[in-house]
Amino acid sequence: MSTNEFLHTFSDPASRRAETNASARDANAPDELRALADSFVNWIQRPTVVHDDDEVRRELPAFVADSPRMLAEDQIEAYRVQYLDRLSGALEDDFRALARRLGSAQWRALVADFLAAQPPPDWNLYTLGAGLPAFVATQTDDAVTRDLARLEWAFCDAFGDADATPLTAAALAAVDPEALGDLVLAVQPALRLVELDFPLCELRIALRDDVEAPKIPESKKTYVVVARDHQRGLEYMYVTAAAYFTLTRLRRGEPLGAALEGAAEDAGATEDEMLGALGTWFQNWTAWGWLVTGD
Amino acid sequence: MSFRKQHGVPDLGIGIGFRAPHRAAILESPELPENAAGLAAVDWFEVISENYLGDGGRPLATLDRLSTNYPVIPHGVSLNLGGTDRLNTDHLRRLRRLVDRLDAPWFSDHLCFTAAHGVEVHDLLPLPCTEKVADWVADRIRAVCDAIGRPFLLENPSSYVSWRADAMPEWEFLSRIAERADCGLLFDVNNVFVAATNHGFDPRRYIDGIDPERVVQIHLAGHSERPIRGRPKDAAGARPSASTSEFAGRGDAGDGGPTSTGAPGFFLFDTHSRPVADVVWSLYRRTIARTGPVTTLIEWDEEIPAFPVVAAEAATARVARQEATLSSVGTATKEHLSANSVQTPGELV
Repeated sequence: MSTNEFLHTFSDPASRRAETNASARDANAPDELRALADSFVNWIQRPTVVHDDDEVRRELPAFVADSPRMLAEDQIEAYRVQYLDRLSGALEDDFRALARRLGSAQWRALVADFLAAQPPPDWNLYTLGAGLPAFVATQTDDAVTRDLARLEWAFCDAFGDADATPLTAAALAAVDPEALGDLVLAVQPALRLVELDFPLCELRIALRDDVEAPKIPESKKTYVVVARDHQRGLEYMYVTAAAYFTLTRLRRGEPLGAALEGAAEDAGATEDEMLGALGTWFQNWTAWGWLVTGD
Repeated sequence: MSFRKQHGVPDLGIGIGFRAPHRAAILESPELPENAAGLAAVDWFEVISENYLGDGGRPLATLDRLSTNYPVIPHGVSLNLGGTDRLNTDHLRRLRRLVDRLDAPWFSDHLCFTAAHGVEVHDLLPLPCTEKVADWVADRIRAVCDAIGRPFLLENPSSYVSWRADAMPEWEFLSRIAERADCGLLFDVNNVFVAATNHGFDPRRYIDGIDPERVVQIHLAGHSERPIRGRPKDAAGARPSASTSEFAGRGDAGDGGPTSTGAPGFFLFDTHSRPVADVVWSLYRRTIARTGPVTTLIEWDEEIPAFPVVAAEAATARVARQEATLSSVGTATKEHLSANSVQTPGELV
């Protein structure tokens, strides 16, 4: 499916009215303020221009007065436009490659539908797009678009995670060989593991940088680690399936022995293949700070 | 005793909002270049609190480097002080951690609500100016101050909406809340002008209507004009220019000029995307004449130019602040001398 066939349908306006989250309410708030705030937030979330939205126009006179410069409809429309612009911009910062791939119109439609389905739940703009990859998956069968959304979210998701003290190769080497099988290793909090159907990291960069995008690569099961570099930026690295599943299991807290056994099974790797790779993995992973002390 | 003296808040001088495009220019220069007058380009920086509430990574590493060389003040946009949802305890816990990390002499947020029924709109929505709402906001500010443990400043918002429930002008509303919550004010002069133009009141009444002793910090920024969808443009199609208005052209906000401008068909929007308008500089001088030389910040958040351009705005603010302070001291001294009273310049601040 091409991006032009991206499945998009506007929701019915009525369905865009946010579900009331009763648990968030402060029972002591003045009733008249609550009514005003609920209405205002609902108005500015709606997809239709206020001047053409009969439901909003019916509700406005109870709350909003014309000002010398602006009619009541003009006033609320200013906020409605700003709501979508602001959040679309924030999401585009996080999913710039996805936005470029879809093009302006489809991106904006996607954002509008996403925000209608999942209104921002809290103050944290960094997590605004947490649900977007799953939402994209419900909107299109295009595997590249779906993969791109997941890959971009991995970078956003890791951005503000805690820093942890890297485990040194020397510390790892000092572990009694007899105890290695039961050793529990911690993985850098800001490390994300992404399984893709396409090797898209270079395409992501090209799209984000707005340079001529490379051709879509051939489909190929791909394993990516997104992790913090030494300047505390984020970098990506393609890894083997065995490495990917080992890191996945370590992250879950499995002891090293069990993690390696399970990863070999997940990846279809032989014992010899695993043993041959182990030395290089742990040398690199400690050097790159992927493994950290449990402090 | 003034709020500033009571809480021992310092005058930090002239700052700018720390924004990502200027990261390298600021962090790679341990000391920023002086301006033509030989003064430091920037004395301090303000950061958006919510950008630094994570647990680690580049944001906090950047913040630590910045705060090594400069005072840094956290300015929030999402406390939802006027909201009807409960205050977010996780947000407050993270904000406390940030304020402590910076050892900030104060923190600030806006007089507005940002969420309702669990939906966060990430915008600063104006409140109806009523007694009951003033009490509600003041209670929430007190709760926030208890949680954070530092002096708090409340900022007046830009506004494009007129509530039927409004029972008093915004400056009275702001003042009542500040008094009841015993907080300071972050006085945004551009927001005053934008609101005055959109709602048709005299911005000088706003400035003259607040308690100058509560003003701890001032914001200055640029605004833009946006077309109004529902109301046709005036017949001539003239595009208003607030910065070249009759008001601004008279040079000083105290000379009786008209209060705001703008032809029908446009409203003012607080975009922070342009230089500070001449008319806002005039209002700033008027404010400083009342408050004395308080900490001042230049905000520039969209279409952000190279750092020297923003630093030049800061330099302009420094000169304006100095001139307005000297002017007010001179005026006050004359008045007091004529009344045979004795007052030190410091008491005028």
